[in-house]
Amino acid sequence: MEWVPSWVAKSYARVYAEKNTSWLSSEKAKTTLKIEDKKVLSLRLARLEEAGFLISKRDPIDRRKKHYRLIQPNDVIFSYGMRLLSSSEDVMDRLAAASKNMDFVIGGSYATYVYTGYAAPGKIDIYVSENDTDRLISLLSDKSTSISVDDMLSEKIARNNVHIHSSLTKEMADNSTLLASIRYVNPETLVVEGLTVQSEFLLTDTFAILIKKRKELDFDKLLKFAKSENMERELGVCLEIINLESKKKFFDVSTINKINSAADLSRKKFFPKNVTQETSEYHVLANKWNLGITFSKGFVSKIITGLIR
Amino acid sequence: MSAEQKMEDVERESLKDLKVLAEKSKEWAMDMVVIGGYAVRAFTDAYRHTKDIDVAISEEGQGNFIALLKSLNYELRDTDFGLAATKKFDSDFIDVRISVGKIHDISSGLSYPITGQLFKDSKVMLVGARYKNNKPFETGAPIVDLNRLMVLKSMPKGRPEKDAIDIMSLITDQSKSIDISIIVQECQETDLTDHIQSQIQDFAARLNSGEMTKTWSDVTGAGMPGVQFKSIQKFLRELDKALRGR
Repeated sequence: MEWVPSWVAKSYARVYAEKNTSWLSSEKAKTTLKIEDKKVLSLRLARLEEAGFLISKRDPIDRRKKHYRLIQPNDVIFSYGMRLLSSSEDVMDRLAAASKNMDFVIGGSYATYVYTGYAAPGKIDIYVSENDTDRLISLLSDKSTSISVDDMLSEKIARNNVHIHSSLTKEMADNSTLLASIRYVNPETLVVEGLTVQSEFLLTDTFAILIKKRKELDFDKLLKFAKSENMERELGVCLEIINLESKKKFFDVSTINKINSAADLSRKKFFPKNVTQETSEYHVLANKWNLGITFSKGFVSKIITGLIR
Repeated sequence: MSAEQKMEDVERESLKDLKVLAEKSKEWAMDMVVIGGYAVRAFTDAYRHTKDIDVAISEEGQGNFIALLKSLNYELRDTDFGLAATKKFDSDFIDVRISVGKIHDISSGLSYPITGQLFKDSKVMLVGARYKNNKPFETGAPIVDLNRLMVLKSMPKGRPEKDAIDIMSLITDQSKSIDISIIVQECQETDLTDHIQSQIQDFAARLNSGEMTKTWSDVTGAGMPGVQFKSIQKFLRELDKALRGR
């Protein structure tokens, strides 16, 4: 890969000399770079951003305005080095190249897709420590990649959509699985995450992992995670529904009963939450687990049909 | 192989099959119309990945259509939502869901009737590719008309997030072409007014609560600009009002 053109490097150096890496407005960028023409200015700033030298964000009050901040030179150089080591320009190859030198973990639907090959993800969620966030932005920036950082969401939709979360914890890193040089949130955590959030996509992911990875799942770990989030009932009922709809004994009755006896069934909950219209098809299971089951049979059978062929 | 590469490959294979289905249905004078995610793709930018093909066909064409799918190496099966065909591709699958006689929505238990008018009102449109490398495989196919597509996409109950993305995409890219009065008429003629109105109200509530913008960013990987949010909100208000005043 090529280093940036000299005019891009000069723009970076000029801003760095004056503002270091503090945030600056478009107006300030204009005076610092001595560019009057708005189009030329935004092109220059966009080029710096694509090269991984700069981060931009919208003004939270006036969305028409943008603010810019340079990435530290050492982080830019580091990311350039990692790009050189990468076997291709592909996002995953770049991440694989950087994985020996920085800690990050891929989670969300992308991790589920890697484990199960089911339900294509819209973005790659990457968890990284706050200190490494700029390095990662610099490493992944290019024309075909949109980058969102925490609650600063990208405005463009690209071939690769990356969402960087600067909230990596040691526990998350320790509880991850290494696949092809890249760390992924482990499947047990993803199952419980889906049970906790209960959106359609994440519940689909939960079902996908339970079915596709059932032989490899660490059930003790899964039960421990579910217990810590008070999601034992939801886990148990998902296992029962999979058995019921697939007409197969994917999960042992003894495992399900163990979850049932350990779960706190005292207060009725809706599952998924935020919907109060119960599905009649699962009333026997709903009574057993004291849950108001609100997802439709159609939702479950579509997933099961897609996963068990 | 990265997930993106896998998704790109399966989209290409699916577009190739869609092309054959469209060409052969024309050649054999079979009534076929695309109704699912690829129909949305014909009207909008490729906001989300899709690979499955949803079609409505006439009862007379069913035999030929099944033979055609078999020639493309699809395996046929009956499902809770009608006839489906599946083809394994690498480690993934392409599903073709076929509606005959009616388009049944299992989540609500309701159906939309397939009449000759559905085929007459369809137009051949270009189904775009999400991935740049798949541009050469973009293909023309008969697509259900925009207003019916809005009704069909509003039918599923629960919290169908893909359908929600599709509705938001259609409103974003086609708000000027969608005719609310035709949607109201369609709903009346198919006895779906109460259901669709309740769905639209639920959808508007989810939009206002921020749930839909979160779904949008999860699926598209990008935030929803305020202008887009407001235009969807305005459209839903107008549609709800029109459905109330039927």
